[in-house]
Amino acid sequence: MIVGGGVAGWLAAATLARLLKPTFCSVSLIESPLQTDGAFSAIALPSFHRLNSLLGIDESDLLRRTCGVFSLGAQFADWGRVGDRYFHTFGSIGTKLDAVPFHHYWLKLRSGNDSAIEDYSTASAAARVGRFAPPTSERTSFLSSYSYGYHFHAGLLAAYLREYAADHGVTRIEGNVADVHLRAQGGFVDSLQLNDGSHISADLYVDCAGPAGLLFQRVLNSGYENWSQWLPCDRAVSVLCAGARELAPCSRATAQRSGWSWQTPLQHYSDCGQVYSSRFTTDDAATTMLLADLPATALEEPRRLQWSPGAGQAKSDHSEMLP
Amino acid sequence: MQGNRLRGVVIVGGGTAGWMAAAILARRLGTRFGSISVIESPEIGTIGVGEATIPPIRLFNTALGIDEDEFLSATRGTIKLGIEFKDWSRQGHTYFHPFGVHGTSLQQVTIHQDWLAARESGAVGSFEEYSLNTVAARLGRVLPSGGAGESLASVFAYAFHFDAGLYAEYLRGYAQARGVSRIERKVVRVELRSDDGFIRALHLDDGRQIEADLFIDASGFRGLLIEQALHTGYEDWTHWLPCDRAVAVPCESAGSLTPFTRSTARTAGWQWRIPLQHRIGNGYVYCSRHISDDEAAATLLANLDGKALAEPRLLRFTTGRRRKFWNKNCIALGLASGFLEPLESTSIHLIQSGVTQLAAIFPDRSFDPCDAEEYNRLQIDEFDRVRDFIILHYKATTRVDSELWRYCANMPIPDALTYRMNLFRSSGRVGVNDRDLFVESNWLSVLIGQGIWPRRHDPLADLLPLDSVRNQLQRLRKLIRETADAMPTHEEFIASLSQPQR
Repeated sequence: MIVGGGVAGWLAAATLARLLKPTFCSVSLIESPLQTDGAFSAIALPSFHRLNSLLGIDESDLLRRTCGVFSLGAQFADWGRVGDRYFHTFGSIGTKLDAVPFHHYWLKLRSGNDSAIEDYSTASAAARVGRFAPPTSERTSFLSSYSYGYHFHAGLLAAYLREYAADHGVTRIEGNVADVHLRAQGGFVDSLQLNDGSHISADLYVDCAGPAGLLFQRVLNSGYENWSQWLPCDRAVSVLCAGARELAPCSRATAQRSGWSWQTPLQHYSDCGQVYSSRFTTDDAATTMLLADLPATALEEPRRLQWSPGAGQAKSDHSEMLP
Repeated sequence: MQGNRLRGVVIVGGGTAGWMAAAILARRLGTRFGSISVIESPEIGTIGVGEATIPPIRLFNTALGIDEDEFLSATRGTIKLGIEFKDWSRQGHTYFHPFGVHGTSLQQVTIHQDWLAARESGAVGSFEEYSLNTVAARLGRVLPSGGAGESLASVFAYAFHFDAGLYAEYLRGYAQARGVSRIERKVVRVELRSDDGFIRALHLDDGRQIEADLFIDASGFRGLLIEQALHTGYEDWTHWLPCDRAVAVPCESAGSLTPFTRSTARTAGWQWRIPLQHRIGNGYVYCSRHISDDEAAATLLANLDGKALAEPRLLRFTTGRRRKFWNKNCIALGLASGFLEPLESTSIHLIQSGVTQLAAIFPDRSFDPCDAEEYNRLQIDEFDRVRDFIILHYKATTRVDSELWRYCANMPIPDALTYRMNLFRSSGRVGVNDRDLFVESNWLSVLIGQGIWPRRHDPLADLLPLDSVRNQLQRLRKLIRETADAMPTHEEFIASLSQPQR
């Protein structure tokens, strides 16, 4: 039983449905009719290719139906200091010479600021001029030196995975979880009570309910490790805009006074947002700042998101042993 | 920055460790970082007898550009497909720890899970029959390099047994041909710099002083530089691995040339048997609290394949490691860095790992403490993980016939090992890490071999119908047997090597 739709819930549903046979174990998902992902876009790292091959997804079909585009990495601006720019590439930088990693040669030979290390990355160079070609497996080619990720329209990606999951036998239950009942002994989850009064139960529950952490934190008191002393941002506001004239094959993250802003191009759209720390700015100020600097017309009302940075607590002292 | 490069490296000790270091440094650096010298005392014998290795040794030889056939001829080497463990889990029981991996996966889970699922209903044989290495080893057959059958090529792996003295000699020739100088003298005094305690120079018994920027201590157990001069300290692991002595003797070969090392558990320790082309290396590793030296030597001599070829030699050691392998401008390798009994043939690998890491984190004259810290982090981690794997052999036993085995079965073990054993007992899963030298297949062989059984198999092994799993397992078992049957015998393979050119 997966609680919560969205990209996380449907990704879990699709994967489990693919791995398990309906006769072996049934998979269901409860989603609120109103639930949407907080963000307009979803960025996938190159590891998503493994999911594609596991699920047997056709890449062009996926991209066509999710307004998806290719990504060679992320452009970071104003992070080290205002005016700085660097590219975090999904590719390699240079190549080992005589078993010594490339960047040591670059450190040795560079003089002043005349060359950036990313000049030695095919993916960075291509991203800078807005170009993309699928990598080859021909090892002598520069086109074999990188991988790529994707940007998706989050709602469309969730819908795509939902359809996949439905085709593979996942049952969708529409409703809101009103209460969680625990077993008297052991404290495991026994059943979920929906707002229409019905009860549903399963052997295993997957919590994809979003920052609310419906099952784990609230009911099971499993604890939460708070990381806000290292990662002070706890809110975001974003808006879906019309597509930019040029489709950059990368996302962009620009440091701001109280956080950072993103621009993620999609087919026909671009997703723009501000991540900020509520300790250092207000929601209104962040929204004003976002709307003042849009690359294209806003198409929807801004959406707000909030979270506390961190992760569910590991129970065992040996969690580092787990693969 | 070039003004800061090292002007010379001195290696103390001309055993396997010293010459392995000299060879790889000569290969990687040439003479561009000043001279590389090895000081070896003509009076001190090297410890290495018949030495057994694990598959990464082939990477080391490849890095040096050594031809495998020539190497085997020069070191009177043989092929090793794994280790046979006799009487470890209980007396009368034998299991095989092969190199390579078991079978090929049938579905989403590793093959041992399918085997666990199917064996409940019988007719799937022992787990060992799914290892090409084990099946070939039991038949006395080996696969010459490059000749693996297509579908099973990826599951096969091999290493060598060789005469460690001849290997050191071979590497000495290699290193000297590439500019390494050999100084046959004894070090009488180690001179430290007064300001920072770094080693400044070594004083030799002919009155010479040898200066260098970097010193490698390959002087053996005593740790002439790392311990006697720098007082680095030692972590004692005797409470986990109580054996502290070994007695070694070579004997004449008899019978067929087995392509594996044998380890036989005995009352107060265990006995190794390492077949070489011209003789067999033997030794009894024991705990001096439970048996006398004479008794140990007598036990060893009573359990040889053929006539003893020398007087038994006694070795004393304390299992453990230096607190740091890299201290100031000194790096310890081989026995100078620590000692783990050769139960899983890791001695040479730990040297290899150390010199390879040194080449990857090669210092300059600033000796930034970060270099040593990173080297120590990686090498200590490697040493400790190997230690845990060796402890497993002692811990997982039902033997209660002697004090040593009763102690081991009840001793507390490192937490990380407890965790792994519990994980396996629970679900048959092995929690391996990316940096582990011994991976899932190694742990499986030893865990199952030592008699640890999972309470259940991976539930996903039930996704395929049992009949289908059983049929596929049977087909795989047959394919492995046929592939092994088609290999040449170990003797045929060794005879096919070209003779050494003298």
